[in-house]
Amino acid sequence: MPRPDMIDAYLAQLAARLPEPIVAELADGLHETYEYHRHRGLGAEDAALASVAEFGEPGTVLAACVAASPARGAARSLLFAGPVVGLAWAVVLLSRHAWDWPVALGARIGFGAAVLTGVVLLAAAAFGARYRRAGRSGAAACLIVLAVDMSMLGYVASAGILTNWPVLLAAALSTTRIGFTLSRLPQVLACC
Amino acid sequence: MLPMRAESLKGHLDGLLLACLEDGPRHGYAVIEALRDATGGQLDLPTGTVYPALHRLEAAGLVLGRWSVVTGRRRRTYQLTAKGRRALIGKRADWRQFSAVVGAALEGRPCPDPT
Repeated sequence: MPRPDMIDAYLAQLAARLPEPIVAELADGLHETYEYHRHRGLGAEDAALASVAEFGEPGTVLAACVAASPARGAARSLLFAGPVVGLAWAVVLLSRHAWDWPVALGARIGFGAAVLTGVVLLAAAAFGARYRRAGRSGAAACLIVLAVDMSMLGYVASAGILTNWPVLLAAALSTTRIGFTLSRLPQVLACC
Repeated sequence: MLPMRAESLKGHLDGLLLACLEDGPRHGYAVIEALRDATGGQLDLPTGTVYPALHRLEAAGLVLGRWSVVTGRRRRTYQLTAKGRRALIGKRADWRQFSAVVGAALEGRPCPDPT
């Protein structure tokens, strides 16, 4: 059954903003809606009109896709967990006199910049209105979170200070966050 | 009675979709028809917003989506996973408790015993 131009135009609006697998799923749904109205006895143009109206404004559908996006979900979880993990590491840094650690100033600045960039990207993914942009921000943020956690774990392991409970707690939280981030990363990358 | 708007469904759409899949796999539009039948057509929900919700349930492992070819066209079928079935049981229990408590407050009935 050939699709009227109206349906193709509607799908083209979604395809400009969403990844192909989601558009394919929406196209399947819209086609089914169209067939439903054809079987009710409507002509091709009326069925297309009815199905597009029933499907909802493209902006409404796009907003629903963004709200259901795995990138948004992962970013919100990481934003929520961030202060907890950050606080645990802050206790370690303060209690172990991190200002005396043999770490170059450039590395310290780079680490701080990475943390700030990660937070900004997570916020963009968690609250942004564009699906692909949220996916890209979320993916970049996930990689930064992994790098930050692995850097901290690598440092405390190489410095031999994985001995007291604040360090063990922070390391356990970072390890958990690494596992969570790795488990979500494929879905987040699929949003790009 | 006026149709219920999508905002009223906040937090409950996932449970409704899982319930629509309880009896077996369905195509996307069949899920929407089941939702419509089950609610007497009183949900004023743009059907295009149901697919992202199904997609989210799939990403959460509660629903399994599969493509198949039916009369020469690719169609997506959704079915509950074991995790989705457990989630549905939990959502039903949550709803019973929620509706009992809110109903008691709105209608001045005694609140049910939390135990």
